[in-house]
Amino acid sequence: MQNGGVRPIYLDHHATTPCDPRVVEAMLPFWSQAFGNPASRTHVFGWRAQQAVEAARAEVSQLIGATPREVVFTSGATESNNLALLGICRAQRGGRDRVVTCATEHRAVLDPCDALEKAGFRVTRVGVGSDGLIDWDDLEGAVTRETLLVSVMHANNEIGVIQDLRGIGALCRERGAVLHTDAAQSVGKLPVNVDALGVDLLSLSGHKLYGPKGVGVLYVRRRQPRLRLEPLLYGGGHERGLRSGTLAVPLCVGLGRACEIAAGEMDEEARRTGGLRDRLWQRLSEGLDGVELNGHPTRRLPGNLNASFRGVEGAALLVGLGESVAVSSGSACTSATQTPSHVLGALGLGEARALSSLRFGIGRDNTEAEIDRAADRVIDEVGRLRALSPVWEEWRRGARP
Amino acid sequence: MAPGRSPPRATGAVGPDFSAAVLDHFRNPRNPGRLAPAVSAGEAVSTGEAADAAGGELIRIQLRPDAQRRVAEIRFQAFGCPATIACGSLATELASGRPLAELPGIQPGELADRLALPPERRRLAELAVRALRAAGAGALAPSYDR
Repeated sequence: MQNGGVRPIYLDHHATTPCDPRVVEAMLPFWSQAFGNPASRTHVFGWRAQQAVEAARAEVSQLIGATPREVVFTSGATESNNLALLGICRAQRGGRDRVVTCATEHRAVLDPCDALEKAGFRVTRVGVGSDGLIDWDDLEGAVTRETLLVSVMHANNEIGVIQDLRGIGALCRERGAVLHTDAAQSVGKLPVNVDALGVDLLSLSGHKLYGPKGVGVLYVRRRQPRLRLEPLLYGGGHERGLRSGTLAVPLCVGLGRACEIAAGEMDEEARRTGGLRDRLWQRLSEGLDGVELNGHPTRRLPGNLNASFRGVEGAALLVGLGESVAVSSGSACTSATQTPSHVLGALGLGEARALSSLRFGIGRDNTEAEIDRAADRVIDEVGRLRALSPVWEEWRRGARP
Repeated sequence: MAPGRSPPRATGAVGPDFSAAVLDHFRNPRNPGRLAPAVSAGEAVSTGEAADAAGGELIRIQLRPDAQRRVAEIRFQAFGCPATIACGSLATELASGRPLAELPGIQPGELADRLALPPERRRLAELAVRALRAAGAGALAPSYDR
Protein backbone atom coordinates (compact mmCIF):
# COMPACT_ATOMS: atom_id res chain seq x y z
CA MET A 1 0.00 0.00 0.00
CA GLN A 2 1.36 3.45 -0.91
CA ASN A 3 0.82 6.68 1.00
CA GLY A 4 3.77 5.99 3.27
CA GLY A 5 2.19 2.79 4.55
CA VAL A 6 -0.76 4.66 6.09
CA ARG A 7 -4.03 2.88 5.44
CA PRO A 8 -6.22 4.96 3.12
CA ILE A 9 -9.41 6.28 4.67
CA TYR A 10 -12.39 4.44 3.24
CA LEU A 11 -15.30 6.83 2.64
CA ASP A 12 -17.08 4.93 -0.11
CA HIS A 13 -19.59 2.90 1.89
CA HIS A 14 -22.33 3.37 -0.72
CA ALA A 15 -20.23 1.35 -3.15
CA THR A 16 -19.65 -1.45 -0.69
CA THR A 17 -19.04 -2.04 3.00
CA PRO A 18 -16.44 -4.25 4.63
CA CYS A 19 -17.79 -7.56 5.81
CA ASP A 20 -18.22 -7.26 9.59
CA PRO A 21 -15.86 -9.69 11.41
CA ARG A 22 -18.89 -11.06 13.27
CA VAL A 23 -20.45 -11.86 9.91
CA VAL A 24 -17.29 -13.58 8.69
CA GLU A 25 -17.22 -15.64 11.88
CA ALA A 26 -20.83 -16.72 11.40
CA MET A 27 -20.15 -17.81 7.83
CA LEU A 28 -16.99 -19.81 8.52
CA PRO A 29 -18.52 -23.18 9.48
CA PHE A 30 -20.63 -23.24 6.32
CA TRP A 31 -17.79 -23.44 3.81
CA SER A 32 -16.25 -26.82 4.56
CA GLN A 33 -17.75 -28.22 7.75
CA ALA A 34 -21.48 -27.64 7.47
CA PHE A 35 -21.29 -27.69 3.68
CA GLY A 36 -24.60 -29.43 3.00
CA ASN A 37 -27.10 -28.46 0.35
CA PRO A 38 -30.26 -27.15 2.00
CA ALA A 39 -32.26 -28.91 -0.72
CA SER A 40 -30.90 -32.28 0.47
CA ARG A 41 -33.87 -33.32 2.56
CA THR A 42 -32.69 -36.87 3.31
CA HIS A 43 -29.69 -36.38 5.62
CA VAL A 44 -28.30 -34.34 8.43
CA PHE A 45 -25.92 -32.33 6.23
CA GLY A 46 -28.86 -30.95 4.30
CA TRP A 47 -30.97 -30.43 7.43
CA ARG A 48 -28.28 -28.37 9.10
CA ALA A 49 -27.79 -26.19 6.04
CA GLN A 50 -31.54 -25.72 5.73
CA GLN A 51 -31.82 -24.75 9.39
CA ALA A 52 -29.06 -22.17 8.96
CA VAL A 53 -30.68 -20.70 5.86
CA GLU A 54 -34.08 -20.52 7.55
CA ALA A 55 -32.59 -18.82 10.60
CA ALA A 56 -30.99 -16.28 8.26
CA ARG A 57 -34.28 -15.83 6.42
CA ALA A 58 -35.98 -15.07 9.74
CA GLU A 59 -33.35 -12.43 10.59
CA VAL A 60 -33.81 -10.71 7.24
CA SER A 61 -37.59 -10.77 7.53
CA GLN A 62 -37.48 -9.30 11.04
CA LEU A 63 -35.31 -6.40 9.94
CA ILE A 64 -37.86 -5.33 7.31
CA GLY A 65 -41.09 -6.34 9.07
CA ALA A 66 -41.88 -9.21 6.71
CA THR A 67 -42.62 -12.87 7.27
CA PRO A 68 -39.86 -15.38 6.47
CA ARG A 69 -41.79 -16.92 3.58
CA GLU A 70 -41.80 -13.51 1.85
CA VAL A 71 -37.99 -13.47 1.70
CA VAL A 72 -36.42 -14.76 -1.54
CA PHE A 73 -32.62 -15.09 -1.56
CA THR A 74 -30.92 -13.86 -4.73
CA SER A 75 -27.38 -13.01 -5.83
CA GLY A 76 -27.77 -9.33 -4.94
CA ALA A 77 -29.87 -6.23 -5.45
CA THR A 78 -29.37 -6.19 -9.22
CA GLU A 79 -30.93 -9.62 -9.54
CA SER A 80 -33.64 -8.68 -7.03
CA ASN A 81 -34.52 -5.59 -9.06
CA ASN A 82 -34.62 -7.58 -12.29
CA LEU A 83 -36.76 -10.29 -10.72
CA ALA A 84 -39.15 -7.73 -9.29
CA LEU A 85 -39.62 -5.65 -12.44
CA LEU A 86 -39.44 -8.32 -15.12
CA GLY A 87 -41.16 -10.88 -12.90
CA ILE A 88 -44.27 -8.79 -12.23
CA CYS A 89 -44.58 -7.61 -15.82
CA ARG A 90 -44.03 -11.02 -17.38
CA ALA A 91 -46.66 -12.54 -15.11
CA GLN A 92 -49.19 -9.97 -16.31
CA ARG A 93 -51.56 -11.22 -18.99
CA GLY A 94 -53.31 -8.25 -20.56
CA GLY A 95 -54.77 -5.35 -18.63
CA ARG A 96 -52.45 -2.88 -16.95
CA ASP A 97 -49.36 -2.12 -19.03
CA ARG A 98 -47.81 0.97 -17.49
CA VAL A 99 -44.62 1.09 -15.44
CA VAL A 100 -43.60 4.20 -13.51
CA THR A 101 -40.12 4.79 -12.17
CA CYS A 102 -37.89 7.69 -11.20
CA ALA A 103 -35.10 9.36 -13.18
CA THR A 104 -32.59 8.95 -10.34
CA GLU A 105 -32.95 5.18 -9.94
CA HIS A 106 -29.93 2.88 -10.08
CA ARG A 107 -29.12 1.41 -13.48
CA ALA A 108 -30.27 -1.93 -12.08
CA VAL A 109 -33.81 -0.50 -12.21
CA LEU A 110 -33.54 1.79 -15.23
CA ASP A 111 -32.06 -0.88 -17.51
CA PRO A 112 -34.79 -3.48 -16.78
CA CYS A 113 -37.31 -0.67 -17.40
CA ASP A 114 -35.70 -0.07 -20.80
CA ALA A 115 -36.06 -3.81 -21.51
CA LEU A 116 -39.73 -3.69 -20.49
CA GLU A 117 -40.30 -0.76 -22.80
CA LYS A 118 -38.83 -2.74 -25.68
CA ALA A 119 -41.20 -5.56 -24.75
CA GLY A 120 -44.18 -3.23 -25.18
CA PHE A 121 -44.77 -1.78 -21.71
CA ARG A 122 -45.29 1.95 -21.43
CA VAL A 123 -42.64 3.32 -19.08
CA THR A 124 -42.73 6.75 -17.44
CA ARG A 125 -39.60 8.08 -15.75
CA VAL A 126 -40.69 10.74 -13.31
CA GLY A 127 -38.23 13.56 -12.64
CA VAL A 128 -36.99 14.97 -9.35
CA GLY A 129 -36.65 18.45 -7.94
CA SER A 130 -33.27 20.08 -7.40
CA ASP A 131 -33.26 18.49 -3.91
CA GLY A 132 -33.56 15.00 -5.38
CA LEU A 133 -37.08 14.32 -4.09
CA ILE A 134 -39.44 12.87 -6.66
CA ASP A 135 -41.73 15.38 -8.35
CA TRP A 136 -44.98 14.59 -6.55
CA ASP A 137 -47.32 16.23 -9.06
CA ASP A 138 -45.70 14.35 -11.94
CA LEU A 139 -45.86 11.10 -9.98
CA GLU A 140 -49.53 11.56 -9.17
CA GLY A 141 -50.21 12.24 -12.81
CA ALA A 142 -48.18 9.26 -13.98
CA VAL A 143 -49.70 6.60 -11.69
CA THR A 144 -53.08 5.76 -13.17
CA ARG A 145 -55.53 2.86 -13.16
CA GLU A 146 -53.45 1.48 -16.05
CA THR A 147 -50.27 1.37 -13.97
CA LEU A 148 -49.14 -2.12 -13.16
CA LEU A 149 -45.92 -1.33 -11.32
CA VAL A 150 -44.22 1.62 -9.67
CA SER A 151 -40.52 1.35 -8.78
CA VAL A 152 -39.00 4.10 -6.64
CA MET A 153 -35.82 3.65 -4.62
CA HIS A 154 -35.87 4.24 -0.89
CA ALA A 155 -32.53 6.06 -0.54
CA ASN A 156 -30.39 7.18 -3.44
CA ASN A 157 -26.92 5.70 -3.86
CA GLU A 158 -25.29 8.97 -4.95
CA ILE A 159 -27.00 11.77 -3.08
CA GLY A 160 -28.49 9.70 -0.24
CA VAL A 161 -31.90 11.36 -0.62
CA ILE A 162 -34.71 9.44 1.05
CA GLN A 163 -37.97 9.34 -0.89
CA ASP A 164 -41.37 9.53 0.78
CA LEU A 165 -42.18 5.87 0.25
CA ARG A 166 -45.06 5.97 2.70
CA GLY A 167 -46.82 8.56 0.55
CA ILE A 168 -45.94 6.75 -2.66
CA GLY A 169 -47.20 3.49 -1.12
CA ALA A 170 -50.55 5.09 -0.28
CA LEU A 171 -50.86 6.44 -3.82
CA CYS A 172 -50.11 3.00 -5.29
CA ARG A 173 -52.67 1.34 -3.02
CA GLU A 174 -55.32 3.84 -4.04
CA ARG A 175 -54.66 3.25 -7.75
CA GLY A 176 -54.13 -0.50 -7.51
CA ALA A 177 -50.47 -0.46 -8.60
CA VAL A 178 -47.73 -2.70 -7.23
CA LEU A 179 -44.92 -0.79 -5.48
CA HIS A 180 -41.32 -1.98 -5.72
CA THR A 181 -38.46 -0.25 -3.96
CA ASP A 182 -34.72 -0.69 -4.32
CA ALA A 183 -33.72 -0.38 -0.67
CA ALA A 184 -30.10 -1.51 -1.09
CA GLN A 185 -28.81 1.70 0.47
CA SER A 186 -31.34 2.05 3.27
CA VAL A 187 -31.87 -1.39 4.81
CA GLY A 188 -29.69 -1.63 7.88
CA LYS A 189 -29.16 2.15 7.91
CA LEU A 190 -32.74 3.34 8.43
CA PRO A 191 -35.80 1.65 9.94
CA VAL A 192 -37.58 -0.16 7.10
CA ASN A 193 -40.97 -1.79 7.54
CA VAL A 194 -42.65 -3.06 4.41
CA ASP A 195 -46.17 -2.72 5.83
CA ALA A 196 -45.64 0.77 7.22
CA LEU A 197 -44.17 1.89 3.89
CA GLY A 198 -46.83 0.13 1.82
CA VAL A 199 -44.20 -1.69 -0.22
CA ASP A 200 -45.03 -4.88 -2.16
CA LEU A 201 -41.56 -5.74 -3.41
CA LEU A 202 -38.24 -4.68 -1.85
CA SER A 203 -34.68 -5.34 -2.98
CA LEU A 204 -31.74 -5.43 -0.61
CA SER A 205 -28.10 -6.36 -0.88
CA GLY A 206 -25.76 -8.14 1.54
CA HIS A 207 -22.61 -6.16 0.88
CA LYS A 208 -24.21 -2.77 1.45
CA LEU A 209 -24.92 -3.63 5.10
CA TYR A 210 -21.62 -5.18 6.19
CA GLY A 211 -22.57 -8.61 4.86
CA PRO A 212 -20.94 -10.61 2.07
CA LYS A 213 -20.98 -9.80 -1.63
CA GLY A 214 -22.96 -12.08 -3.93
CA VAL A 215 -26.14 -12.33 -1.91
CA GLY A 216 -29.30 -10.27 -1.72
CA VAL A 217 -32.98 -10.59 -1.11
CA LEU A 218 -36.19 -9.79 -2.86
CA TYR A 219 -39.08 -9.34 -0.46
CA VAL A 220 -42.28 -10.47 -2.18
CA ARG A 221 -45.59 -9.65 -0.50
CA ARG A 222 -47.69 -12.74 0.11
CA ARG A 223 -50.50 -11.13 2.06
CA GLN A 224 -53.03 -8.59 0.85
CA PRO A 225 -52.39 -8.96 -1.97
CA ARG A 226 -50.40 -12.08 -2.82
CA LEU A 227 -48.19 -11.14 -5.75
CA ARG A 228 -47.59 -13.29 -8.81
CA LEU A 229 -44.15 -13.17 -10.39
CA GLU A 230 -42.62 -15.00 -13.32
CA PRO A 231 -39.17 -16.26 -12.29
CA LEU A 232 -36.03 -15.30 -14.20
CA LEU A 233 -34.36 -18.66 -13.54
CA TYR A 234 -35.90 -22.09 -13.91
CA GLY A 235 -34.48 -25.39 -12.71
CA GLY A 236 -35.35 -26.93 -9.39
CA GLY A 237 -38.03 -24.64 -8.04
CA HIS A 238 -35.97 -23.31 -5.14
CA GLU A 239 -37.22 -20.32 -3.17
CA ARG A 240 -40.89 -21.19 -3.78
CA GLY A 241 -40.23 -21.41 -7.47
CA LEU A 242 -39.10 -17.80 -7.72
CA ARG A 243 -35.35 -18.36 -7.84
CA SER A 244 -34.06 -21.77 -8.86
CA GLY A 245 -30.48 -22.63 -8.01
CA THR A 246 -28.70 -24.06 -4.98
CA LEU A 247 -28.63 -21.49 -2.22
CA ALA A 248 -25.26 -19.97 -1.32
CA VAL A 249 -25.54 -21.10 2.29
CA PRO A 250 -22.51 -19.25 3.75
CA LEU A 251 -23.62 -16.03 2.06
CA CYS A 252 -27.22 -16.40 3.24
CA VAL A 253 -25.96 -17.04 6.77
CA GLY A 254 -23.72 -13.98 6.52
CA LEU A 255 -26.59 -11.81 5.33
CA GLY A 256 -28.75 -13.06 8.19
CA ARG A 257 -26.06 -12.20 10.73
CA ALA A 258 -25.53 -8.78 9.11
CA CYS A 259 -29.28 -8.10 9.45
CA GLU A 260 -29.24 -9.21 13.08
CA ILE A 261 -26.33 -6.86 13.86
CA ALA A 262 -28.00 -4.00 11.99
CA ALA A 263 -31.25 -4.49 13.90
CA GLY A 264 -29.38 -4.12 17.19
CA GLU A 265 -27.00 -1.31 16.26
CA MET A 266 -28.71 0.70 13.53
CA ASP A 267 -30.03 3.57 15.67
CA GLU A 268 -26.75 4.22 17.43
CA GLU A 269 -24.81 3.80 14.20
CA ALA A 270 -27.05 6.24 12.33
CA ARG A 271 -26.56 8.80 15.08
CA ARG A 272 -22.79 8.33 14.98
CA THR A 273 -22.32 8.31 11.19
CA GLY A 274 -24.71 11.27 10.89
CA GLY A 275 -22.54 13.16 13.36
CA LEU A 276 -19.39 12.32 11.40
CA ARG A 277 -21.05 13.39 8.15
CA ASP A 278 -22.05 16.74 9.68
CA ARG A 279 -18.51 17.18 11.00
CA LEU A 280 -17.05 16.50 7.55
CA TRP A 281 -19.45 18.96 5.91
CA GLN A 282 -18.71 21.61 8.49
CA ARG A 283 -14.96 21.30 8.02
CA LEU A 284 -15.16 21.32 4.23
CA SER A 285 -17.61 24.20 3.99
CA GLU A 286 -15.65 26.27 6.50
CA GLY A 287 -12.28 25.40 4.99
CA LEU A 288 -13.14 26.13 1.35
CA ASP A 289 -15.11 28.64 -0.72
CA GLY A 290 -17.27 27.40 -3.56
CA VAL A 291 -18.45 24.16 -1.94
CA GLU A 292 -22.10 23.22 -2.49
CA LEU A 293 -24.20 20.43 -1.05
CA ASN A 294 -26.02 18.26 -3.59
CA GLY A 295 -29.36 16.76 -2.63
CA HIS A 296 -31.80 17.49 0.18
CA PRO A 297 -30.02 18.92 3.26
CA THR A 298 -31.77 16.72 5.83
CA ARG A 299 -33.79 13.99 4.09
CA ARG A 300 -30.75 11.89 3.31
CA LEU A 301 -28.87 8.85 4.56
CA PRO A 302 -26.95 9.63 7.75
CA GLY A 303 -23.60 8.61 6.24
CA ASN A 304 -24.03 10.39 2.91
CA LEU A 305 -22.42 13.63 1.79
CA ASN A 306 -22.41 14.70 -1.85
CA ALA A 307 -20.76 18.01 -2.56
CA SER A 308 -19.46 20.00 -5.52
CA PHE A 309 -16.12 21.76 -5.41
CA ARG A 310 -16.26 24.58 -7.92
CA GLY A 311 -13.43 24.86 -10.39
CA VAL A 312 -12.17 21.32 -9.84
CA GLU A 313 -13.06 18.30 -11.93
CA GLY A 314 -14.29 15.38 -9.84
CA ALA A 315 -12.14 12.73 -11.52
CA ALA A 316 -9.00 14.83 -11.00
CA LEU A 317 -9.88 15.27 -7.36
CA LEU A 318 -10.48 11.54 -6.99
CA VAL A 319 -7.11 10.64 -8.45
CA GLY A 320 -5.42 13.33 -6.40
CA LEU A 321 -6.93 11.87 -3.25
CA GLY A 322 -6.74 8.27 -4.41
CA GLU A 323 -3.96 7.00 -2.22
CA SER A 324 -5.16 8.63 0.98
CA VAL A 325 -8.94 8.94 0.80
CA ALA A 326 -11.26 6.56 -1.05
CA VAL A 327 -14.34 8.38 -2.35
CA SER A 328 -16.19 8.44 -5.65
CA SER A 329 -17.30 11.11 -8.09
CA GLY A 330 -20.44 11.81 -10.02
CA SER A 331 -18.63 11.91 -13.30
CA ALA A 332 -16.56 9.73 -15.54
CA CYS A 333 -13.89 10.66 -18.00
CA THR A 334 -13.36 7.20 -19.39
CA SER A 335 -15.97 7.79 -22.06
CA ALA A 336 -15.27 9.93 -25.13
CA THR A 337 -16.38 12.99 -23.21
CA GLN A 338 -16.81 13.53 -19.51
CA THR A 339 -20.40 12.94 -18.52
CA PRO A 340 -22.08 13.83 -15.27
CA SER A 341 -23.96 10.95 -13.67
CA HIS A 342 -27.62 10.61 -14.59
CA VAL A 343 -28.53 11.32 -10.95
CA LEU A 344 -26.76 14.67 -10.78
CA GLY A 345 -28.03 15.40 -14.29
CA ALA A 346 -31.61 14.83 -13.10
CA LEU A 347 -31.17 17.39 -10.30
CA GLY A 348 -30.56 20.03 -12.99
CA LEU A 349 -27.43 21.30 -11.25
CA GLY A 350 -25.68 22.32 -14.44
CA GLU A 351 -22.83 20.38 -15.93
CA ALA A 352 -19.97 22.30 -14.32
CA ARG A 353 -21.30 21.70 -10.82
CA ALA A 354 -22.16 18.08 -11.56
CA LEU A 355 -18.67 17.38 -12.93
CA SER A 356 -17.14 18.90 -9.79
CA SER A 357 -18.89 16.60 -7.34
CA LEU A 358 -17.63 14.02 -4.89
CA ARG A 359 -19.61 11.44 -2.97
CA PHE A 360 -18.55 10.62 0.57
CA GLY A 361 -20.05 7.52 2.19
CA ILE A 362 -19.32 7.28 5.90
CA GLY A 363 -19.65 3.93 7.60
CA ARG A 364 -19.46 1.81 10.71
CA ASP A 365 -15.68 1.85 11.22
CA ASN A 366 -14.91 5.48 10.44
CA THR A 367 -13.56 7.62 13.26
CA GLU A 368 -13.51 11.35 14.00
CA ALA A 369 -9.76 11.38 13.43
CA GLU A 370 -10.26 9.85 9.98
CA ILE A 371 -12.92 12.40 9.09
CA ASP A 372 -10.60 15.24 10.13
CA ARG A 373 -7.69 13.79 8.18
CA ALA A 374 -9.90 13.25 5.11
CA ALA A 375 -11.22 16.83 5.32
CA ASP A 376 -7.67 18.19 5.50
CA ARG A 377 -6.61 16.13 2.48
CA VAL A 378 -9.63 17.23 0.44
CA ILE A 379 -9.02 20.89 1.33
CA ASP A 380 -5.34 20.59 0.34
CA GLU A 381 -6.04 18.80 -2.93
CA VAL A 382 -8.89 21.15 -3.93
CA GLY A 383 -6.52 24.05 -3.26
CA ARG A 384 -3.79 22.48 -5.40
CA LEU A 385 -6.12 21.80 -8.32
CA ARG A 386 -7.78 25.22 -8.09
CA ALA A 387 -4.38 26.86 -8.39
CA LEU A 388 -4.19 25.11 -11.79
CA SER A 389 -7.77 25.76 -12.78
CA PRO A 390 -8.82 28.49 -15.23
CA VAL A 391 -12.44 27.61 -14.42
CA TRP A 392 -12.00 28.39 -10.71
CA GLU A 393 -10.50 31.75 -11.58
CA GLU A 394 -13.48 32.59 -13.77
CA TRP A 395 -16.00 31.30 -11.24
CA ARG A 396 -14.52 33.49 -8.55
CA ARG A 397 -14.72 36.50 -10.81
CA GLY A 398 -18.38 35.67 -11.40
CA ALA A 399 -17.67 34.97 -15.06
CA ARG A 400 -19.08 31.43 -14.79
CA PRO A 401 -22.47 30.26 -13.59
CA MET B 1 -35.61 12.20 -21.15
CA ALA B 2 -36.84 10.72 -24.41
CA PRO B 3 -38.75 7.49 -23.93
CA GLY B 4 -36.74 4.36 -24.51
CA ARG B 5 -33.39 6.08 -24.25
CA SER B 6 -30.95 5.68 -21.41
CA PRO B 7 -28.95 8.67 -20.21
CA PRO B 8 -25.21 8.48 -20.77
CA ARG B 9 -23.74 6.20 -18.19
CA ALA B 10 -20.93 7.07 -15.84
CA THR B 11 -18.51 4.20 -15.54
CA GLY B 12 -16.52 5.72 -12.71
CA ALA B 13 -13.14 4.10 -13.33
CA VAL B 14 -10.28 6.57 -12.95
CA GLY B 15 -7.15 5.71 -10.96
CA PRO B 16 -5.61 2.68 -12.63
CA ASP B 17 -6.84 4.12 -15.92
CA PHE B 18 -4.02 6.62 -16.13
CA SER B 19 -0.48 5.90 -17.25
CA ALA B 20 2.52 6.57 -15.02
CA ALA B 21 3.42 9.48 -17.32
CA VAL B 22 -0.01 11.07 -16.86
CA LEU B 23 0.14 10.62 -13.11
CA ASP B 24 3.63 12.12 -13.00
CA HIS B 25 2.53 15.29 -14.81
CA PHE B 26 -0.71 15.40 -12.82
CA ARG B 27 1.09 15.21 -9.48
CA ASN B 28 4.09 17.35 -10.49
CA PRO B 29 2.77 19.70 -13.16
CA ARG B 30 5.47 21.55 -15.12
CA ASN B 31 5.04 25.31 -15.51
CA PRO B 32 1.70 25.63 -13.69
CA GLY B 33 -0.18 28.88 -13.17
CA ARG B 34 -0.20 32.24 -14.92
CA LEU B 35 2.46 34.67 -16.07
CA ALA B 36 2.55 38.05 -14.37
CA PRO B 37 1.16 40.82 -16.58
CA ALA B 38 3.72 42.73 -18.58
CA VAL B 39 5.25 45.72 -16.81
CA SER B 40 6.94 47.02 -19.92
CA ALA B 41 6.86 46.64 -23.68
CA GLY B 42 8.88 43.62 -24.68
CA GLU B 43 7.50 41.62 -21.79
CA ALA B 44 4.03 41.15 -23.22
CA VAL B 45 2.26 37.87 -22.66
CA SER B 46 0.37 35.92 -25.31
CA THR B 47 -2.50 33.72 -24.16
CA GLY B 48 -4.05 30.77 -26.00
CA GLU B 49 -7.11 28.86 -24.87
CA ALA B 50 -8.87 25.77 -26.09
CA ALA B 51 -12.07 24.32 -24.70
CA ASP B 52 -14.00 21.16 -25.41
CA ALA B 53 -17.62 22.22 -25.18
CA ALA B 54 -18.88 18.65 -25.01
CA GLY B 55 -16.48 17.46 -22.35
CA GLY B 56 -16.19 20.70 -20.38
CA GLU B 57 -12.36 20.68 -20.42
CA LEU B 58 -10.43 23.91 -20.75
CA ILE B 59 -6.68 24.46 -21.24
CA ARG B 60 -5.05 27.88 -21.14
CA ILE B 61 -1.41 28.43 -22.08
CA GLN B 62 0.48 31.67 -21.67
CA LEU B 63 3.90 32.40 -23.02
CA ARG B 64 6.37 35.25 -23.19
CA PRO B 65 8.98 35.20 -25.97
CA ASP B 66 12.43 36.68 -25.71
CA ALA B 67 14.05 39.01 -28.23
CA GLN B 68 15.06 36.02 -30.38
CA ARG B 69 11.43 34.94 -30.54
CA ARG B 70 12.01 31.90 -28.42
CA VAL B 71 9.66 30.81 -25.65
CA ALA B 72 11.32 32.39 -22.63
CA GLU B 73 8.55 31.73 -20.14
CA ILE B 74 5.50 29.55 -20.35
CA ARG B 75 2.65 28.58 -17.99
CA PHE B 76 -0.52 26.53 -18.21
CA GLN B 77 -3.83 26.15 -16.43
CA ALA B 78 -6.23 23.29 -17.03
CA PHE B 79 -9.66 22.17 -15.95
CA GLY B 80 -10.42 18.50 -16.51
CA CYS B 81 -9.36 15.02 -15.57
CA PRO B 82 -5.72 14.13 -14.78
CA ALA B 83 -5.01 13.50 -18.47
CA THR B 84 -6.17 17.03 -19.33
CA ILE B 85 -3.82 18.49 -16.75
CA ALA B 86 -0.98 16.24 -17.95
CA CYS B 87 -1.50 17.37 -21.57
CA GLY B 88 -1.28 21.02 -20.56
CA SER B 89 1.83 20.32 -18.51
CA LEU B 90 3.61 18.33 -21.21
CA ALA B 91 2.76 20.91 -23.90
CA THR B 92 4.54 23.61 -21.88
CA GLU B 93 7.51 21.32 -21.29
CA LEU B 94 7.87 20.61 -25.01
CA ALA B 95 7.50 24.28 -25.97
CA SER B 96 9.77 25.78 -23.37
CA GLY B 97 12.85 27.40 -24.93
CA ARG B 98 11.76 26.58 -28.51
CA PRO B 99 11.53 29.19 -31.29
CA LEU B 100 7.94 30.37 -31.75
CA ALA B 101 8.13 29.33 -35.39
CA GLU B 102 8.63 25.71 -34.32
CA LEU B 103 5.57 25.51 -32.07
CA PRO B 104 3.19 24.46 -34.88
CA GLY B 105 5.46 21.44 -35.33
CA ILE B 106 4.48 20.07 -31.93
CA GLN B 107 1.87 17.46 -32.82
CA PRO B 108 -0.99 16.07 -30.70
CA GLY B 109 0.27 12.57 -31.47
CA GLU B 110 3.57 13.29 -29.76
CA LEU B 111 1.80 14.30 -26.53
CA ALA B 112 -0.62 11.42 -26.73
CA ASP B 113 2.18 8.91 -27.27
CA ARG B 114 4.40 10.29 -24.52
CA LEU B 115 1.48 10.18 -22.09
CA ALA B 116 0.26 6.80 -23.39
CA LEU B 117 -3.26 8.19 -23.79
CA PRO B 118 -5.94 5.71 -24.82
CA PRO B 119 -7.85 6.54 -28.04
CA GLU B 120 -10.79 8.14 -26.23
CA ARG B 121 -8.47 10.64 -24.51
CA ARG B 122 -6.30 11.63 -27.47
CA ARG B 123 -8.67 14.56 -28.02
CA LEU B 124 -7.15 16.09 -24.86
CA ALA B 125 -3.71 16.21 -26.53
CA GLU B 126 -5.34 18.07 -29.42
CA LEU B 127 -6.84 20.50 -26.94
CA ALA B 128 -3.43 21.26 -25.42
CA VAL B 129 -1.83 21.67 -28.86
CA ARG B 130 -4.62 24.04 -29.94
CA ALA B 131 -4.04 26.20 -26.86
CA LEU B 132 -0.28 26.16 -27.43
CA ARG B 133 -0.59 27.08 -31.12
CA ALA B 134 -3.01 29.88 -30.30
CA ALA B 135 -0.55 31.30 -27.77
CA GLY B 136 2.33 30.93 -30.24
CA ALA B 137 0.36 32.47 -33.11
CA GLY B 138 -0.65 35.38 -30.88
CA ALA B 139 2.99 36.10 -30.11
CA LEU B 140 3.88 36.05 -33.82
CA ALA B 141 0.94 38.21 -34.90
CA PRO B 142 1.77 41.70 -36.27
CA SER B 143 -0.41 43.30 -33.60
CA TYR B 144 1.63 41.64 -30.86
CA ASP B 145 3.23 44.36 -28.82
CA ARG B 146 6.88 43.49 -28.58
